[in-house]
This record gives sequence, structure tokens and C-alpha cells, in this order.
Amino acid sequence: MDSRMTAPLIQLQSVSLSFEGHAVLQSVDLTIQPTSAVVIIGVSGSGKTTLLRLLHHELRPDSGTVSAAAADQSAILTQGFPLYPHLKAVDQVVLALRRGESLLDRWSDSTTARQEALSLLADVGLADYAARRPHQLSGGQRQRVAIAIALAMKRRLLLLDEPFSALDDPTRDELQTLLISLRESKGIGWVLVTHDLVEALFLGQSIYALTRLPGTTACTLRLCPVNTPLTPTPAVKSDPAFLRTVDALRSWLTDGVPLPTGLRRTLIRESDLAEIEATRQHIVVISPHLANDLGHAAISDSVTANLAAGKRYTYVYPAGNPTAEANAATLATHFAKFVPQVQFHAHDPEDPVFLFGEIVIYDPGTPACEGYTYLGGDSAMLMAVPPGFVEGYLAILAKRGLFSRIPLS
Amino acid sequence: MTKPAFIPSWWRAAVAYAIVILFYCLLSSSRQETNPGDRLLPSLPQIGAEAVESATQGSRGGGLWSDTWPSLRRYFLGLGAAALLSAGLVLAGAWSAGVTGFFRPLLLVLAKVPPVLFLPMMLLWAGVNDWSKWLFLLLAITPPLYLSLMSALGEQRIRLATLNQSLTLPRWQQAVFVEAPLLWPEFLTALQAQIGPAWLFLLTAETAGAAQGLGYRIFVVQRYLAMDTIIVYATWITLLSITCHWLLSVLRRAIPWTPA
Repeated sequence: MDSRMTAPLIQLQSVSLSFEGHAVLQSVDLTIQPTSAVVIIGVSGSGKTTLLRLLHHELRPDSGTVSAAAADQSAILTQGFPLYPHLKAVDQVVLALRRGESLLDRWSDSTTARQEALSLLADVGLADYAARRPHQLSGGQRQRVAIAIALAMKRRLLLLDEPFSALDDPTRDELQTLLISLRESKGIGWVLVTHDLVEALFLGQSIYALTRLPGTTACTLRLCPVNTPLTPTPAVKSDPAFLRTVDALRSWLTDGVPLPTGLRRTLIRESDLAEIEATRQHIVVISPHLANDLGHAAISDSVTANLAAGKRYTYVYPAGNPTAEANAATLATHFAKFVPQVQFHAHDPEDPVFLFGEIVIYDPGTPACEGYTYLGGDSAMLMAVPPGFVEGYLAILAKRGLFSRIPLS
Repeated sequence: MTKPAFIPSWWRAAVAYAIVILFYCLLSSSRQETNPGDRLLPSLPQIGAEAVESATQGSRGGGLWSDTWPSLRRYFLGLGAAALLSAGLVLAGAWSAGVTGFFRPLLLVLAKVPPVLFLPMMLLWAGVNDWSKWLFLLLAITPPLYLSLMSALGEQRIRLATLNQSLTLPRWQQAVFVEAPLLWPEFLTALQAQIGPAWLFLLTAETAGAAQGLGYRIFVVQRYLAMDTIIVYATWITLLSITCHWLLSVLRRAIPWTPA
């Protein structure tokens, strides 16, 4: 088990904060894992920016704890993120890269740092704009420079405070796609504050809403019972099912209309389908209803047979749950002797999509999976996947409008 | 309805100058009528002749050029020393807050002293030579230049606070790579504002004690009521001052990050 992957980057535990006696946040719990794609929505004045500043250690809570795996993991990006007006794009990045150097080192050879800066600018799509100063760049390009600076500073988490709200639609699409690709290529995660629900559903794997506690001025954080695995293309934004989800989320936020179960949808890339088919013997189906006293009885006969046949499985359990972790440890000892091909993975309980080379499919309509999406689940189960399961499953989802094949652009 | 005619701004300026010159000519000619030997308001041809004479062969013991060089040397050395000293102090202050804490109170008080009071001290200490002029200019120009640069630095820090906080550069890197280059346009603007005062101080110093120079000459010819020479010299000094101003503007606009 890789503890580095599972240790949360930042954790807020029952955090409360008030300004001059005016309660702003109350009992906020939030765990940010590495590569988290968290979105926070809420009406203006609900403390979204305050929450970001807490995550960035700019503010201290009145009560509760803010713990971080390491200092300086995050960078804040705002709508008007300033850049130094006198420096070319590449020099802004060089400045960030060499900021730790001493007087003597700083004046020595700079070609290495310059090369690195140029490659970071290429990563954010600005290879041709390296020699431009901020006033020669558009708003979207300046945001890209800001992201390159954060990368140069080895930040793993971007705290995004409505950074794209002043940009036109195509530019916003490009930057959102850039974020998704940086997450895939460099493992950069984000906490995005936005009031744009389309953006929220597009960029959020877990979406939280800051909602006012009845009878107080304070807001607290609630997980939106909607699941939107990241999709790599903005084309999804015009997908009818996606738009229905946006509408339903809006009604849930403003009028408290409960979200229909069917809205939890799984979007899978067309290109991944073949892989799903090819590796279906590895597919893990998460089920939350497995009791904490998980034992052999929970493993179905077909799994046992598959294990005996040497097929690979991954045992998924929610990270941060002591019982589940203890169970996993017991099972790991046991399995190591007989079925060493079983892998163990502590999974971010807020992130229903399995990102480590295998794909999780869970049926929101199946009661066994219901709780997990609500974070109620605290364990996982191994289940056999019969041949043809994936195709049949996807067909059913498609019929219900829960699954779309999204062509990659 | 007819469109109102567009009057270019240079045209209005030309009219303003023309009115002033015309007014002078009227006054001058009325005086010349009553007394053809009047020296207080010489006519334009007289002034022109004096200008040509002082520029070509010199007149009344001096010449325009032989007076200009010593003055320009004193002016640029004094102003340059003040500029270098204030820039150095500001850079050192950006590097270390301790430096600012040391020099700022000192210069705050120095800036409150009427600069002309330094003149007799400098003359007594350094003598009637160029040193006294340089030192006088240095003492008179450095405090306001330094203080306006420090306040520009403070504003710049507020403007870039978010970025500075997120980048957390070491103090010296911030001073050298960020604050100093960003202060260049402000520096040239502040220097521009000191061009006029620096001429004032130089001319005063030359009046009080010198054997050559534009200010000295004006002081000397005043005794002979040589208004034509005074007007020629005053116009010449104004032209020099405008040229300095213009050069600094060109320099400032050449900096790529000068705000538009």
C-alpha cells in the first residue's frame, strides 16, 4: 500500500470561522487528496473565497483544524491573477524556478532553468509566446502563464478562485481542458470555486455546495449528490444528459429539489471502451454495503473461482476509514499466501472514479452502490464480472440516458 | 448646421505664444519711443543681435558657450550624483528594511530644510569651486528624489502584494529582479520633476559664487542693465531644460513596461 498516494494533501476538520463576530463558516469538513478535482459552489457571500484562503493557510480557523501533508503545496489563482509587468513570460517562470537560489548561483548559468521554463510554457500551450510581456498577452494566456508559474513552484494543488469567469467561452473551454490534461499528465489537482454550474460539473469529481445553516449567517459544506467523472472534452457540455444534470443541480441548490437517482452518471471515453472490454476480468465493482466485518463469506463463489484461476483483482476500500483499513490489512496478509495477484488500493471515498489504470463501473441504480456515492459507504467488495457484462451494462445505462459515448476531439 | 472647425492644439499654443510676444513688443516699442536708449525692454532685433553676438564671439566678458559648458558640467554631475545616490539608497532599502529605517528619517528631515540654506555652508566648506555646486545640488535634490522613489516603491509593493506573497522570493531577488526594474519608469519621472529645481539651485549657486557659468553671467550683466543678455540666457537655459525633459521622456518611453 502506497501511503504517499493516500495521505490527504489538506484536511479541514470541523472548521469554523467568523469575521468580527459574524459567523462565516461552520463545521466544515473537507479532505483534499492529491489529484483531487474538487469544485465548490455557492451563492455569493457564502464564504467560497474564505474557504480557499483557509486551504492556502492565509487564514486560521477559530475552531477546528487545518492540517496539510506539507507546506507550500498549493497556489492560488484568481480571476485577475497579476503577473510582473516587466518580465517576459519565460522570465516570469524562470523567476519562480530559481527563487530558492543564492546570490552566487542566481548569477551563474541560466540555460537549464530557461529550458525548463520554456518546456513548462509549452506544457500550458504557450510555446510561441515565451518572449511576450503580460500586456502583450490575452487574459487566457496570462492565466496560462500563472499556471506555468505554479508548476514551476512544484505546486500539486491549484486553488482556483473563479479564474475563468472573465474569459470568453472558447478560451474558458481551452483552459478547462488544459487543467484536465495537466491532471492526467502531471497529477495536478485543484479546488475550484465557481458559480458556473456547467463549469462545476465539467471540472468537478466531487462537487460541494456552501449552503447556509438555518437560523445563522454561517455556511457549511455539503457534498452534492451528483457524480461527474472528469471527461476530457468540452463536447460533453452540449450533451443532453449533462445539461439535465446541470438543471437538476440548480434546482437542488436553489429550491432543495432532491436529485433523482438516475442523475448519477458514468461517462466513459470511447477510447476506453476497448480497454474496459479487454481488461474486464480486473474490473472492480465497488459496493458500500459490505459490512465492516468483511470476511470470506463476502467474496462470492465466482470470485473465488477467478482467483483460483489466477485472474487479477483489485481490492478497493475507502481511505481514512480505520475499520476498512484494518480489514484490508488482515485480508492482505491472508491473500499474500494464496492469491498474490490481488492488489489493494485505498481509495479516496469522495472520488468514485478509479484512476490507477483500472476502471470502476458502478451502477447508481443498484441499491448496493447507492450509499457509496453519498459517501455513506465505508467499505468495498470484490465482485465477479461475468463475460459481456460491460457491454450489457453500458447498453442499459445508455438507454436510461445515463451514459454517452463521447467522441474525442 | 456647420460642423465646428477643428483647431489643432499646437495652433492654440502658437496663439498663446504670439500674444505674449506681441504684448512684449508693444511694451518694448512704447518704451523705445520715449527713450531710444532704453535697456530694460530691448526690442526683438536687439535681442536677436545679442544672441548672435554671444553665441559667435562672446560679449561683455563671456560667451554663451564658454558659460554653458561649466554650467552643464556642474548640472549633470550634481544631478547625476543625486540620482545615483537616491537610486542606490532605494535599492539598498528594497533589499533590507534596516537600510530604509536608517536613511529615511534622515532624508525626511533634510527634505524639510529649504535647500538654499545649504548654499552658504557649502561655499564655506568647499570653497568657491565646482565642488560646492555639486554638493549643493546633491544635498538639495537627493531628499525629494529619494522620498518620491520610496513612496513609488511602497505603492508598487501594495499593487503586487498578492503576487509577491505567492511567489515568496527572497528579499534580495525581489529587490533586484522585481522592484528595481519596475521602478525605472518612476525613477525617470521623479528625475524629470527635479530638472527645474536643479536649474534653480545651480543658478543660485553660480550667482552666489562662481567665475563662470550661465547663472554667474546673468548676475554680472544685471549690473549693466543688460536685459538683452539676460533674455538670451534665460531662453537658452529654458531650451536646455526642455531638452533634458524631452530626453528623459524618450528614455522612459523606451522602457517596454512603462505604463501607457
